[in-house]
Amino acid sequence: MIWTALTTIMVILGLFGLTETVYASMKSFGIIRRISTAGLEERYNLEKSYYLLSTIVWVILLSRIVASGVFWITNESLIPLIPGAMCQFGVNQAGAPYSWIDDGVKLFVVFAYGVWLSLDLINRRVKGGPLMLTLSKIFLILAPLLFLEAFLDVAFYVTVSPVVVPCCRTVFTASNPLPCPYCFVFHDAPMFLVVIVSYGLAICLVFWSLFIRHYSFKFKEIADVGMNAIRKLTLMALGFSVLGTIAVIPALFQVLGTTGFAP
Amino acid sequence: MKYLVPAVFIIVAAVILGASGYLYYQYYGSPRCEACGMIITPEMQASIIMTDVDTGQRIWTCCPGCMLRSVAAHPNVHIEIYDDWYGTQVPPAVIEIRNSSVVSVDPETSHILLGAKIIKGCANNRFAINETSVQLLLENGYNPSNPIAIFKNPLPNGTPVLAVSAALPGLLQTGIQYVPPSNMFLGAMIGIGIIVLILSFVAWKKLIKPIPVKTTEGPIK
Repeated sequence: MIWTALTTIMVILGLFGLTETVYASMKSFGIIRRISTAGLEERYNLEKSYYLLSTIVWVILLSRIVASGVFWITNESLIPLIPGAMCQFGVNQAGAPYSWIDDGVKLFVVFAYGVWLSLDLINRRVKGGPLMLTLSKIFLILAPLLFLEAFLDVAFYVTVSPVVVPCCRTVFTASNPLPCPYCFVFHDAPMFLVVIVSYGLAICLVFWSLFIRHYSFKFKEIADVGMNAIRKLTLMALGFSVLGTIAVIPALFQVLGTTGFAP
Repeated sequence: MKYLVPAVFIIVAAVILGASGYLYYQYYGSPRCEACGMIITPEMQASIIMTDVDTGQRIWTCCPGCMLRSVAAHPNVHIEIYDDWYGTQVPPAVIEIRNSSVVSVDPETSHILLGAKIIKGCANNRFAINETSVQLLLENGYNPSNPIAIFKNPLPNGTPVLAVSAALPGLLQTGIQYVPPSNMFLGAMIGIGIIVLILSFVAWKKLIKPIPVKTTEGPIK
């Protein structure tokens, strides 16, 4: 392991995610198992139990979203510590195979976690928590992803070592139509970071709105709050897509005008 | 709660714009190897001092391999490079290159250990001013007591040892390896952008339509 403040934070967040996911999964499973046969009093107790679960899941998911951001910062900070690494491609080679899988998983987690978070936000605003069972089930579906993501973080940062790695130009040669994605986004044209994140968030927000609409059809109690949320989310999606489009113009001009690494 | 959406949007936008700005600062604020793009460390700055004699500008380079690759863009250069084993204990070797050809190397016994030929990567290249240094670097990879040692790793087996004039033609051919993205890639980015913009607009227009309420009453006769 390469001990730095950031790798330590990532390992701690990973271990926290692992333990909390196991605890929350068991609690969630208990709610699903008991709710169908629960009487009025037990249902009240389950509701209380669900609010505890909801708070724990919020903490887990928010910590994982923070970890998703810190992940890229940590990898960027490891570049000078790994001989031969010029970009995050080199860092990933030093932490293979966990690093590569972790990279792929990290691209989708915000989308997946956002589904639960947006639905729970609506559930909290409606009396009686009509989505309690649905959210417990969705969490159980998310649990393997959460567990995998946290495990990959721990495995990656514990196994990464300062071994000599070949640079990304061995793969992304002049004949390759794609540039090295890490060099491209983090070094050559950072404006594309704004483009990619903005477009990614816009797509996520639209899909979360679709999920809310789907559940608003199923549970009429949440229709009003759901519509209000959809209005806000789609407006935000439009805002991010406009921001991404504004950013893509200087980003393209920069790439087309670049002749080499020399500033 | 009224200002939640604009507040979230502004915070997220500020974070991503800030991250992008920081990366720009890093890109333009710290020197990078002109040939491969690696960030120049203080050890690299101290080890290789390469100057374009036509412009008088310092050329940033990370290793002896990239040093000669940079000649593709700067045909007339004056180089002062420290031995990777002895470091600052001995004076630097001086290399003069004119019209992309080696004019002089002092001392003449200087060699480049081009480990990148075996395992690609600048970390496998070294510079030695004599045979003793060559052997020590081949055996140990680096000298732990050299304060300006750039790379601290062993060299791959079979690392070729070349005179500067012999190494130059091949590295010159490799040149500066910046690979600009293809037009297809840039076109795809624009295409994705248009799709996302349309998707968001349609979602904003269509999804906010009220959800129809099912009625249990039969049709009106």
